[in-house]
Amino acid sequence: MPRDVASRAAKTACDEGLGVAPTGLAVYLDFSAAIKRYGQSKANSAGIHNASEAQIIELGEKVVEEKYGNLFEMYEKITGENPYKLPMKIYPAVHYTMGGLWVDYNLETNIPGLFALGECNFSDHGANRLGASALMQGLADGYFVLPYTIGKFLSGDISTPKIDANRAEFVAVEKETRERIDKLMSIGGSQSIESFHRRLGKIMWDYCGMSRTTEGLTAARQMIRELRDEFYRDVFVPGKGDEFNPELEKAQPAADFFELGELMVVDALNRNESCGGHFREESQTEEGEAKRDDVNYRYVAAWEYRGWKEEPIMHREDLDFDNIELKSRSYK
Amino acid sequence: MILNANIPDEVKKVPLEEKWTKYRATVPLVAPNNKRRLEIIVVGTGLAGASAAASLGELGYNVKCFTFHDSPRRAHSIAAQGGINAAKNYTNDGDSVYRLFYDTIKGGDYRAREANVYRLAEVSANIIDQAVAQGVPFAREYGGLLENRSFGGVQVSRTFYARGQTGQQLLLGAYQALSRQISLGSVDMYNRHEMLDVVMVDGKARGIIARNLVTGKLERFAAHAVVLATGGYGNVFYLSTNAMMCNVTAAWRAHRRGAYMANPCFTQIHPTCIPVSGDYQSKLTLMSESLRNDGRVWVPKKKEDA
Repeated sequence: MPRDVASRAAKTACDEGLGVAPTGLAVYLDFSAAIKRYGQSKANSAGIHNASEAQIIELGEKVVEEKYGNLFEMYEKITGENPYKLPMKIYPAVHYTMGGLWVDYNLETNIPGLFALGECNFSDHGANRLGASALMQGLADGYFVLPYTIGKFLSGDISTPKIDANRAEFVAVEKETRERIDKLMSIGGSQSIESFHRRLGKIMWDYCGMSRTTEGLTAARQMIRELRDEFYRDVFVPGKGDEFNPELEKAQPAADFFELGELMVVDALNRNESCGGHFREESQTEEGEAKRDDVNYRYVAAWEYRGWKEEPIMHREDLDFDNIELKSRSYK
Repeated sequence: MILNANIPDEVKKVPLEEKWTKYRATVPLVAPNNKRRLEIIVVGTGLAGASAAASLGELGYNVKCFTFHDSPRRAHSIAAQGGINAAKNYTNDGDSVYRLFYDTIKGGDYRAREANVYRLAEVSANIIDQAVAQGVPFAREYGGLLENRSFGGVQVSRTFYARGQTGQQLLLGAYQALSRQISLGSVDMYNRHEMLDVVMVDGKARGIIARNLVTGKLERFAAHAVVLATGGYGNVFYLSTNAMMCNVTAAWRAHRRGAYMANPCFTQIHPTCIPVSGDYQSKLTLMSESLRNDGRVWVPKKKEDA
């Protein structure tokens, strides 16, 4: 079963109050049966016909160690529990983003000469990415696709001389960038950058995470706006803008995340269907399975920025499937 | 406005499996003497950025490559554990380019573009050859052949891997290819530089403004084209399995200059991570999905036992 389905199953169990760990937000991942299965098979192949349970477990743990030893070690270091003896506790976490800059077949954005590759673009994974496909896409784009497709744009530029970085356009954008940094540095408030970022993350996780509703998303949009206003009123960025400053390195992304977070909420509100990693509670079957709406939402929603105060404009790319039949996913 | 994927007409006409071949046969080329005159900025040195910068340098373009890390090897691709898919059908279990294409479209719940995904499935096999030629130590069977495992619930074994550190080994391969171009002079590498804006000239992307993170000074860089390979935006959730430095800034600043942001609500929540333990945690850790193949996931049947 794909990742979105497995994650939602864990969330549903925990929402019903069946979660384990002090937080109630975890499920068990248990290797005891696998250890016995491997141990028995190892004992058989070693010709030990009346192996004791302890012997079987010992043999089985060795097999599991060969396969997953580094992961089990990592788990024990972080949690302090021995996963060979106690079931591991796991819970879903944000891992990958399928959305990204819109690109055409050439991996070029709608800005001529601007290309986006890998996780940065939206192009290949739809609403949910399969395991082991992120590395594939990154390397496909870089080694085998862009080297061809960039020629389409650059072939029109062979007589364009070297671009001069002292042109007025460069000087103007540098000035805007400096002003943005100065603005952040001059707020001089009382709260840390990370405290704001953490609060934003909580809003996103609660309302735009594994399951989403119209009410939740609408409320989240308002909360993000208020938090953003508070950020520009009361954040404290220590040091100076024109020196080594790791805190400033956090402040600029945090400021951008507020705007992105709101756009994610807008996009999630617009897409009134459940598909892949996007689960709208309003759009589910009677059994609680995700319900896709191919009639109304079989498109890519590409958003145009129009300033913080204006509503973004949605552009559509309709998706045609000529070589594949649309089916509902069922992994039962 | 309805967006156009800009697939050339002559490519649209041919069947899916011939599109990429047709495209390569008809796309305008740039002659070697002209490549020498053209400059390209590549931002990011993960698998996508490092492989692009190395390949473009090898082709003869002048590349300026940027990372905010102290070395390209720190890019977050390094954290990928499980593996890389390729439609090689080495296990003879019925895999094909079409099946990888089909699984990717279906797994993505039919919200991706057919032509792009088919191309991805098609070149997947080349990636493995490229990486093996670079010396990437993929897992091998006793007889020496490359080993595959099944991954993420698909019905075939098409995942190539290097223990639990596939991303790291692939990144080292791409980094070596990049380093070779740096030493040949075709790629200028700028470490500890963070891109903060795109510069447009007459409607085209022609450069970036970057902040030198060591001195704090802003610097201007110009080129004929700009390539962003700056990763995803999972850290909008604050807690994620992404490295703490991963951010959306480069892509978002491009968005503010007019680039469209597509399907931002499509985020992936990975089922097997170590749970949050308290309010002051800043990072989550992924446990490879391969564990789901052998482990059993369960919760107590009754609330009282939970």
